[in-house]
Amino acid sequence: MGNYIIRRIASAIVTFLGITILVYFMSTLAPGSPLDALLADPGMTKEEIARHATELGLDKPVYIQYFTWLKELLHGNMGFSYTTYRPVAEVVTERIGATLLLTVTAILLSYIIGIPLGLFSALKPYSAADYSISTIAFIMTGIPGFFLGMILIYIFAVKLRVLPYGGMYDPSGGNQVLGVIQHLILPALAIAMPEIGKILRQVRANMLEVLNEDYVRTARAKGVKEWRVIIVHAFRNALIPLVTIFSGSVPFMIGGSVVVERVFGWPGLGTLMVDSITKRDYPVIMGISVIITVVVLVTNLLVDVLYAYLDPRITYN
Amino acid sequence: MSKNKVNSGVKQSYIYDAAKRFVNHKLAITGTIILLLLIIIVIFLPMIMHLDPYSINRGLPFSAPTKDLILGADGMGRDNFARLIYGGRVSLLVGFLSTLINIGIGVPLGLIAGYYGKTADAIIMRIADVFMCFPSIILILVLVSIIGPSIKSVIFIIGIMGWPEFARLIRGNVLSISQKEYVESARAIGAKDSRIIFRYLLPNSLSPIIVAATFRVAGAILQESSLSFLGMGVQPPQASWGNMLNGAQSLTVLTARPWVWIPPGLMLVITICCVNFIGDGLRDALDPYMKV
Repeated sequence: MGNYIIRRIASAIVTFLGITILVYFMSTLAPGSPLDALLADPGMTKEEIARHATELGLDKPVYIQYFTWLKELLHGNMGFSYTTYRPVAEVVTERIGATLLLTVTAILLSYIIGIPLGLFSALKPYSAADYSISTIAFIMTGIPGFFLGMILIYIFAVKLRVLPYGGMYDPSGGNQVLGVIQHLILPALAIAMPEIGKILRQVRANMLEVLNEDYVRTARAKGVKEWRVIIVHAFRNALIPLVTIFSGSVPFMIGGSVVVERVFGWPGLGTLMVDSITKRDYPVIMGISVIITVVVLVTNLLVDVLYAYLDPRITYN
Repeated sequence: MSKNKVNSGVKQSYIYDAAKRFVNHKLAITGTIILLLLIIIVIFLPMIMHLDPYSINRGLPFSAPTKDLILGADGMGRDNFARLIYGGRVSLLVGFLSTLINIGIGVPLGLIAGYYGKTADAIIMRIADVFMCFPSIILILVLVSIIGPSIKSVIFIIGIMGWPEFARLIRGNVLSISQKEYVESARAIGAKDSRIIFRYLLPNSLSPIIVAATFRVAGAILQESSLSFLGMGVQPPQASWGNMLNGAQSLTVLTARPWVWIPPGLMLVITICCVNFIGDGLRDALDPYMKV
């Protein structure tokens, strides 16, 4: 097991380096350079510009620049924003809390809704209820998050007036925790809904498979009560494979939050990302990409280790 | 009896069975009919009817539906109905072309990884991992910010981002088919690599490729609409369902002008669902033993 974890960490580091290379070289392809502001200044001589280029390391080959950047990155220095001149690390850490809150809530919501529905479908397979649940869930996976967000705003904020339409905090003051929760519900739902269908299908398929296993038949033959067979014997084992779709859905949901944050004016990394792209603020774009990579890799690492722990049939070699 | 005849008989019955299973899949058949209708409408309607999606001030900004402008006008006074039809062309085009690029990159890489193994396999699959564990919309956004948004760049970018899924699929398939007796025996009688690949590995991987490609079309349409919604995809005056929704982000439009944002959103949902239903039907039809 220890060996497995070490190898898993090593592979996560390789992936991390891969992404930093990808992001770094993509940003070097970008039009514009840190020297643009200087070049635009007529008072600057060629020598002065060259001196600045040397200071910034821009005269060195690209791969050396990458290693310099990576070294600074590992020390927590992500450079400065082109537009606000603030340290990128500061700008990004300010926003990451809001995104994590939104994504984690969405993930929880999708499992809280998806698992019982999947379980219910599996207990009455091929019934009318099963078909309607599956079909509705399947349609849900085809609704773009931003359109779903707009519909939710239209229904709950405009027509019913029960929830706020955007932002994160209650502008009138009052109970901030309650305010944040109220603001959280709609965007979290908009991110969670498409994911519910996937979870539901997986739970349903796993349950149907597990219910045919010998140990379930044995339990029934021993006279174990039916609810105990379903919950204790079958359901627990049907949940284990869910762990694998969880790691696949983390990047998907973070990606979804980028778009949904925009609809709800949620002050997270997604909104910052879109703003930075509009302003071509590459240090911030790279900073966000790196942070999201770290979040995804750490989650996947934890999930894989958890999976290996939960299902002893997984071989570590 | 020649060998060929027996062979083609088996093949026909497989396709016949698959077609029968597909036709019996009600949602898939409904999806196919609606999607075909949609394709016919967006291609041919502008040819038989005069539609002008580009002229501004056809009506007042966000004006309500009238006899002339049956879905009203957008923020620039352009004809919403005409934009809906032209936007459909863009969405479908992006969906199909970028999926073709995905396949064009992913299938050869998957074949190389699965068939030649070792270093090539390790490198290709590592790169695929890098792509797959990262939210693709973010890489796509970064690339768009570099290349600049347009229909062509959106097709290209979504095209080069979606290949790992196909590479993984083909690699897995190639690995399992390579173990089969008929491939072993082909090798034993000295068949060349190219013959094994084109005669055995590719044809036997066709069904999963078709199924994955169908779902991928829906995914690509979704990605294009998200990009255009964020203002990073198809740029006005060109229409796309996503950028029509981009113009409706203010609360006043959302509240009081539903004809601006509901039709393009609905068209997206209908198209994506139809494609997904077709994918579901194809999966059941082509491989009845496939799980989930």
